[in-house]
Amino acid sequence: MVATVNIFTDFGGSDGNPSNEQNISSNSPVNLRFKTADNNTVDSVDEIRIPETGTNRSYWKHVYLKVTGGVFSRINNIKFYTAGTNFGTGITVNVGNETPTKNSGYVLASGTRGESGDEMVSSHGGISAKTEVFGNYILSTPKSISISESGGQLDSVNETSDYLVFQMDVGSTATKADLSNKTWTFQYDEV
Amino acid sequence: MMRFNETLKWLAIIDDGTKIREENSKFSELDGKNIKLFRLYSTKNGKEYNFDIGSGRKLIFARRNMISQNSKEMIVICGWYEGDYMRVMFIFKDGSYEIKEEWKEGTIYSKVI
Repeated sequence: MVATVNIFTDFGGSDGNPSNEQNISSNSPVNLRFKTADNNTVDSVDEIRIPETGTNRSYWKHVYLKVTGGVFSRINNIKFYTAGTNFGTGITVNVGNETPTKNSGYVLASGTRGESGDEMVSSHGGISAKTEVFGNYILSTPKSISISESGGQLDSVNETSDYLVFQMDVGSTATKADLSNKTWTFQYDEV
Repeated sequence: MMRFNETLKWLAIIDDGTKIREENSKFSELDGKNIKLFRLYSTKNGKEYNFDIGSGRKLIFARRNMISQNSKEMIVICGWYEGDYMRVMFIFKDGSYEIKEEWKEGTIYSKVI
């Protein structure tokens, strides 16, 4: 038997204490949607509007892996990568360079609902820099995700990786469209 | 339907002859033991892959998982290293495999840690 591992996001609550842990592996029609609200509902509410000038941003998202079941000994070597193709002109998705510890590194997403989220480097206390994901994190150059559990590995059900913190920026040069979905991949080794 | 590499289970023979099987053991039970032979075998068709480990070699084993929207792929990685020399088999879902004698970082053949 092997481990059951799913992709989760945290939202709501307060700094260091998210009120919702949601398994987004079964979200439909996509697992995750960037929006101007702090929730994981995949709908067309709270969309990111194209600004006349400047940038509108999604609320940031805390994404991580969690072991939800199975029999296994340990999981480590967790990586994230994209398929490399971005959303097009004026749309940027960034990930924080740091990978904050689950719960203690959680910072409640902030902004003005329906308009724009606050920029993560200036407003998320655990993120000091960010990197665009599609051009930088592909199979040949994945982003490593740290583990703060004992021993630096996942060896029990309910243990998690640290967070990846994502945010989408939409600039005035973006074109209004129903954008195609993008596939992101999480990779891990298990014994 | 299970993919071929999902049917692979391991069996380890320790230097005192004891057999430890995945069906009733966790991999961590091999920690600190001197493994003489490590075997992968298919519960579907009985196909076997044997890895002579012995005293000088260190076992390498992992299931490398890739999960994304509506998809989960897995590669079985098994082999050994001895000093600077290594020999590792990557077994894919259809039963095909590749053997590497060095890690290739930035690919699915990157290092098992």
